Parts: sequence; C-alpha cells; structure tokens
Amino acid sequence: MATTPRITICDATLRDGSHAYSHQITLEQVHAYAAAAEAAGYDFLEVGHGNGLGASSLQVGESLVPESEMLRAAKQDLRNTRLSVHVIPGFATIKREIVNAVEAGVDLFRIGCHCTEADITQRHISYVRSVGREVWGVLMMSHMASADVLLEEAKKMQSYGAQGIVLMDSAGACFPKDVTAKIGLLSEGLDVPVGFHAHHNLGLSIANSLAALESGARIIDGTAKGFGAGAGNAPLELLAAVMQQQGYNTALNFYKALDAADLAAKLFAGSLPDSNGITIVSGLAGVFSGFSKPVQRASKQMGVDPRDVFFELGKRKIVGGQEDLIIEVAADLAQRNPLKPPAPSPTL
Amino acid sequence: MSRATALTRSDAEAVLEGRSSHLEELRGQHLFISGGTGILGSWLLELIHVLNERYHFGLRVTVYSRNARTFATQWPHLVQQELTRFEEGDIRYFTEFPRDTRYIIHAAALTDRRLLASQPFAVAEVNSMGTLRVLRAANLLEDVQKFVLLSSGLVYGAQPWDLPRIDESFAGPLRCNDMNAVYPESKRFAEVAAQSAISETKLPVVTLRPFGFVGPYQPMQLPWAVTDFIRDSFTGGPIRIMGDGATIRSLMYMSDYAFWVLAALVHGKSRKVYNIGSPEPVDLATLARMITQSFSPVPEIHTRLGQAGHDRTRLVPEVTLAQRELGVEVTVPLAEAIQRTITWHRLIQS
Repeated sequence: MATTPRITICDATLRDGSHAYSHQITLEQVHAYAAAAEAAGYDFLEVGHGNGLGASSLQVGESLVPESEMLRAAKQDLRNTRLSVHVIPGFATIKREIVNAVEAGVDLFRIGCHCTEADITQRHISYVRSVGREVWGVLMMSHMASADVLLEEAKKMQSYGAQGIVLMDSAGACFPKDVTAKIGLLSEGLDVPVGFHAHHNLGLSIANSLAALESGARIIDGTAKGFGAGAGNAPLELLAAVMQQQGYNTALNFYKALDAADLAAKLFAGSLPDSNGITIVSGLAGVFSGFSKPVQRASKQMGVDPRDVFFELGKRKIVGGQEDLIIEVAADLAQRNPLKPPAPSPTL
Repeated sequence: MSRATALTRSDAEAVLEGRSSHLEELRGQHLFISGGTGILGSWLLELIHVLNERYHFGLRVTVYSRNARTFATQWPHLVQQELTRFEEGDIRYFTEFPRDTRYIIHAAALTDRRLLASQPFAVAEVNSMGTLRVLRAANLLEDVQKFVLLSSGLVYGAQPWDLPRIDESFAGPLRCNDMNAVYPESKRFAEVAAQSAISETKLPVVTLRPFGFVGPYQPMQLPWAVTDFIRDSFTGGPIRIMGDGATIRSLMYMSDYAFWVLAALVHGKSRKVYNIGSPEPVDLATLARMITQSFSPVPEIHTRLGQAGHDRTRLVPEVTLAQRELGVEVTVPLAEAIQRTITWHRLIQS
C-alpha cells in the first residue's frame, strides 16, 4: 500500500528572523522559542545570523550573541527537533565556522549559494558528509534562473553529497506557476528530497508553498508569524493549518504550532514583518528581501526614493553578499535624479 | 611495514598465489601505466611489487600521473620500488612513451562524480583528448605487444531492470544531452578512438569495461554508495538511502580487479571488449547491512528518504567472456572484501 510521503518542516525563525531583528536576538529569546519549536514538532530549527554561519560583520550586520552560544543554547532545548544552520561559503569557512558548529551539536548544515553557483558548495558539502552530519544544498534567489538551470545546479550539489535540495525564493518574487514548474522538474530529476523556502513580498508565500508541496516537495520552510527578511517568510502557523487541512503527513502538533506563533509575536513584538511599499517593490524587482533595511538607510542618506533603489538593484541583478553596492546605487541615483525638496505649504 | 600496508601486500600475494605463471609473458618487460596513481594504479603497483619481489619478474614500470608527488608522500611504499619510475604530467599534453615500452595500460581519466558535475568540460577533454594523445604516441612505438584501454561499464547506458547482467554486446540508451552524459560519452569516444587506431594502424588494443569496486586506497570522500555507507558507519550513522534499498550493484575487490587487468594485458585478444567486475548482484539495503554489522553500535539504516520514482536501477556485468578468455575468476567474496576494506580504513585511521 502506498504511503503518503512524510513532509519535513524546517523552522527558520531564529535564522531568517535575525534579518528582521537586525541580528539582535538574545539567548533568552533563543531558549524560549526553541522550546516552543520542539513542542510544535518541527523537524528542524535553524539558528544563527540571517546570512548564516560566520556572517556577523560590519558589512551585513553584527550579531548580538556569538553564534556558537546561540547554537549551544538552542541545542539545550531540543530533543526531537534537530538543530540546523544556514551556511554560505565565503561567510563561513570549514575550519572555523563549520568545525565549531559540529562541536556545538548542529545536526543539519544547509549549504547555500546563488542559484547558478553550486560549484562553490562542493568543499563544504563534502566536508560535512565526511564528519557524518546531514547536509543539504540550498539554491538562493531561485527566481533568477530557469527550471533547467536550477536542475543542473541541484544535480551538482547532489553529486557532491547533498542529501536534500532547497529552492529559496529569497526575493519573494515567485508566482505559483514558477514554483510548480521548478519544484516539479527538480522532484522529477533528483534522487534526494526537494524543498521550498518562501518569502511573502507579493503575498504569495502560502500559495507558493502549497504549489511546491503539490509539485512534489518533501521539505518546506517557514517561520513563526513569518518572522524573516523583507516581508517575511511563509508563516508556519498558517502552513501548519493548510497542511493539516490538506492531509499532509507531518510530525506537527497543530495547537503547539499556533502557540509557537503567539510566543514569537510576544518575543519579537515590534519587529514582525509587514507588507509595505518597500517589500512589495523588492519582490517585483526580484531583489533579496534582506536588503530592505540597508536600502532604506542608504536611500535616506542619499536622499533618494528607496523604491527606485530596489528597481535599480533589480536591473543590476544584485544578490545577497553584494550589500556594498546598495550605497553605490543610491549615490548614482542621487546624482542622476535627486529627490526634489518638498514644496512649501500654500499660505491660506 | 605498517599494518595497513601489510594488509594490502597480503591481498596482492593472495591473488597471485598459484597464478603468477598466468602472467609469465610480462617477465622482463616494460609496462607503461597512465593514470597510475589512482585506485587501480595503486593496486597494479601492489601486484607488480609482489611479481618482482617474490617471483623475480623484473617487470619495469613507468607510471604517468598528474599527482606523482602527492602520491609519493601518501603511499611511499608504492613509490620506493627499484623498477618503478614516475613521470609527472597531464595526459592532455602527452607526447612520447619510453622507447622500449611494450605494454600499456591507459587508465588516466577523470572519474570523480563531483568533477563530472562541476567541470564537465575538463572531463571531456581529459577522457577523450587524453586517449587520442596516448593512442597517437603508441602508434609511434616499434614493438607494442598490448594496449589495454580502461573504459567504463557506464558506456552501456541504463541496464533494463529485468536484465540480470549486461554482456559485451548490449547497447542501452544514452542521452547525450544529459548533464551527466559527459563521463559515459567521453568513455565511448575513447573506445571509438581505440577502434580507429586498431583499424588504421593495427594497434593491438584490448578494451576493458569496469563496473563497481571496493577496497583499500578507495577514498571515503568519493560519493559512491559503498564509500558513503562505510564513511557514515565510521561516523556513527545513520546510513541514508534515498530509495527503498532495492537498487542493485555488484562490487569486486580491488586485488581481483588489478589481477584481471594484468591478465587482460597478457591474454586479452586485440580488438575485443571485456567486462570487468563481479557478476554477483547485491542490493543497497543488503550492502548497507553487511557494512553496518562491522560496527558497534550498529548504525541505523534509513530508507525511502528521496523523491519517488528514482530509486531502482541495476548495474551488474556478465563476465563469462573475461573468465573464459582471460582465465580469471573472482577470488574474494563480497563479505570478505567489505571486511578487509573496513579493516584497512581502521588501520589507516589509527
């Protein structure tokens, strides 16, 4: 008798949410939320700086708490839920960050790269396999490549030893039909399970996640209350509701998932993402959601409209890790088209 | 001699015990091995060392490789042999054999699956152009007795699930525009080049199509099922099988593989193709259990972790032609092969 495939749920609240919190998550928040994620039955809890291991820096923002302390804190509260980290080669080195994360008890390493650059993940994936930890490949900004190219890159990661492949819609720019085509092709062409990580810039995170599941995805990412970069991620409490209603096979405890979301709302009050002109434009422009805060800072500094900055970044196909260029783009726009000072109020 | 070296040496002695006379034709000859620092090259050197030390063959060997210096550091016992000489170079630019070369084994190729994905262009160049260069240079030699080309069992394309074993006449479908096609297609081209040399200059080429192997010197980093299973067992597991474990392979121990290649050098018939490997099928779930039983605590085996529909393939050779014409047999059963491989890795790690 055929069984319904088990869907693996990855909770990225304490990693993607770090973007929305300017990387200032405290150990108390880690402890409190990790316990809630464990109770909710999520398979993995991803913890760390928004840009992954080793990313804490002046360029992309410094973490309040050293990552090894965050990881150890989360590990203390997890039993069935396993601890995962996001890794971008370049930010994270094998000898420094990955070795330390292994010692801290990380179970799963999700090695990410821009969606056309899988080659740079080979050494990191191979190393993690060699020390016996689970490793997946993550193709970020997946809206920027066709389904065929994504399959090619995913096959590279699979050949390096990746035991799962996740497509990230880092800019929240995908539509359900794109997700259906891309996840469908990867599900057909790969041996390892395929996953999807949504962002909510165009208000499609749940629709896209559902399209991914219907196209064969076995892994789904989300965050409590959508706590994440830009307009946030697929809210886990909504994913839980939809998946339960649709009869997907998970380890979820629905009420506890709702409780985890309520807890996140308290823990991160004031920083939960919402849809606004900036996040909508970043989705339309296809620019990494995590650029929202630095774009707004640079725009204010240069006196330009942040929406114009996003569209210009989109034209230049700027991706995560190129934060330095935001100020350059804002400066260029200021030179070409400075904002006019507001007109004086008419005298009555 | 370290205990790991003693293990491989005793394996080489065992496979040659009572069979050295089968290789008598190699006595006093000069053998050239391209790509001689790979897994097969290491085992060929093990066997040749025994032929020279114990049976006084006086077989001189020139090993051509890009990695000679690294190899010398890693396995000094294979390098410090009186009649063995190493040449470092890239097979794509190979020009000339030592003039008295009479036997050639062309094993140089890029076979690492990770390279096939990341650098397919380099794979195409090395495997096809490298073979052309070696064949051209061999044509210039005065007295070549035998040229053995190492091709691959993958040139057959997909083996039908209901076909128990592939024989040398089988021709399955291969999609040349598949991103993984570069390896089998480059090997097919190497065979085409060899057939051209046979036709044009009567070079005495024997083509071998190897299948699956296991044994010492096989790096555990290679993403093959057997190396994955052994490595994951060393780190405590679990072993993760994407499908249901029914995929079927066959594995030959490396000392047998090396002996079969030397036997082909002597008894292989020019123009002919021989499968090399074990004809005994083993499914991945059974293989994983065979491996985990050597560890305590026994690592868990997880199955059905991948996407549906990609979990059952078969790759098993029919080797009766090789057995009959090369006079070879499988001497190391799979269980023993796995046990000896694990023991060797334990000794290396200790």
